[in-house]
Amino acid sequence: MKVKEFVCVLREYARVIDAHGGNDLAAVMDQLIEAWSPAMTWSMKNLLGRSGPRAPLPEAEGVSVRDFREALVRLQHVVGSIAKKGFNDDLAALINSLEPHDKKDLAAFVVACQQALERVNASKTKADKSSNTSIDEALIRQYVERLQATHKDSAQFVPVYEELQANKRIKQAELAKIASLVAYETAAGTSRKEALRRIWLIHDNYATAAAKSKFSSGKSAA
Amino acid sequence: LSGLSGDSKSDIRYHLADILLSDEVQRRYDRIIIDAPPRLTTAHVQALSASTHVLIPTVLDQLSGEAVGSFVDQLVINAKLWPHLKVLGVVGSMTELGQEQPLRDYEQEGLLAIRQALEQNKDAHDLRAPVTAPLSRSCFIPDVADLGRAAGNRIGYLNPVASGRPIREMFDALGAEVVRAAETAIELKDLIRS
Repeated sequence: MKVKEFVCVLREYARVIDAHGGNDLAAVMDQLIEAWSPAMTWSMKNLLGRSGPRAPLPEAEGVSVRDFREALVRLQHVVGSIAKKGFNDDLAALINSLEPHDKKDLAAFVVACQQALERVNASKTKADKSSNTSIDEALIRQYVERLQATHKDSAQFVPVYEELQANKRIKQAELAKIASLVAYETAAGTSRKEALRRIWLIHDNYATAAAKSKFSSGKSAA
Repeated sequence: LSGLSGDSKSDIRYHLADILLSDEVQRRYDRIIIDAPPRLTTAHVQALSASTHVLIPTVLDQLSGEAVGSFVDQLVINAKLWPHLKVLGVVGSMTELGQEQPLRDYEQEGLLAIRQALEQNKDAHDLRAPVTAPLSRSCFIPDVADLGRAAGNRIGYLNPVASGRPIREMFDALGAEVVRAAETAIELKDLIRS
């Protein structure tokens, strides 16, 4: 499950805790959600693997990690039978990841998570910058124009598609970008095979619609 | 049946329009929304013949995308029956995530299929422009348990005890988008080259 979906429930749960006198815990939960904000599009599994505290944390004086963990266990009991499996799995993973830090200060734990994510993002930005410089924008633009101009006609589209497929200058990142521009939003890390499949769809969808229209005189099968 | 057998002198296709345009109905209602099946049944033809605008809701997957194309084809082929009809747009329904979140990949693929089918429809019928387009993603209706429970029993929008997602806000967003689309929608007759 994506972090942004998971925090929707967590945010609402913080409101419930707040309404029942757990103001301090609710406030730190909000801070944790805020700390996770750079990772909203990640999966929870990815987040939990990357946001753990790297340095020893101070012992709790106010709200402890255990308070938060136990609140999550109560949530688990309430929603366990009705929530989607993905949510239950991620909630259990979060609870497990908190347990080793039970006696530590929750606010310090949140700060440590924030710092860990900042480190990950800083190194990611560096990597993105270096990979961006290698993307051939002109070549991408050229292929996008050719694919869009030919996608209605198999005889014209297929040679362009095959050329794109065989072009060694077009790397995985370029293909993902082309798929984003001609088909629909495609993550930069999407594989070559998947990006090519999405690019193929712009021709395939059009051709399918044309065939259906021709042979059914537009009559819906629905 | 008398309409189909030719016994009736009035045209069966316009029976609903006759009723909706009667003084009594016009006095009592400002707007009338008709929920029609996706097939061109007699009832559906009557509904289209009686309507000023049509909104096309669809699940966002590949097959449903293709079905939207077939439906729009029918609207164009039979445009003589409803020359003044305006197509407001295609609205995604039962999306996995809420209006503020991105569509899933398979839903984006369904949306792509709809766009391509509308483009194909424009080319096949030599129209001046595509008949319609998908509305903004921010007004698509997500798959919400409260709506599912209300289906067939009552109107979900009017459910005062709806929990979880704000049903009214979701439909209000769709309503606002529909109003915007109505301002720019073009009558079918104006899309067809004479």
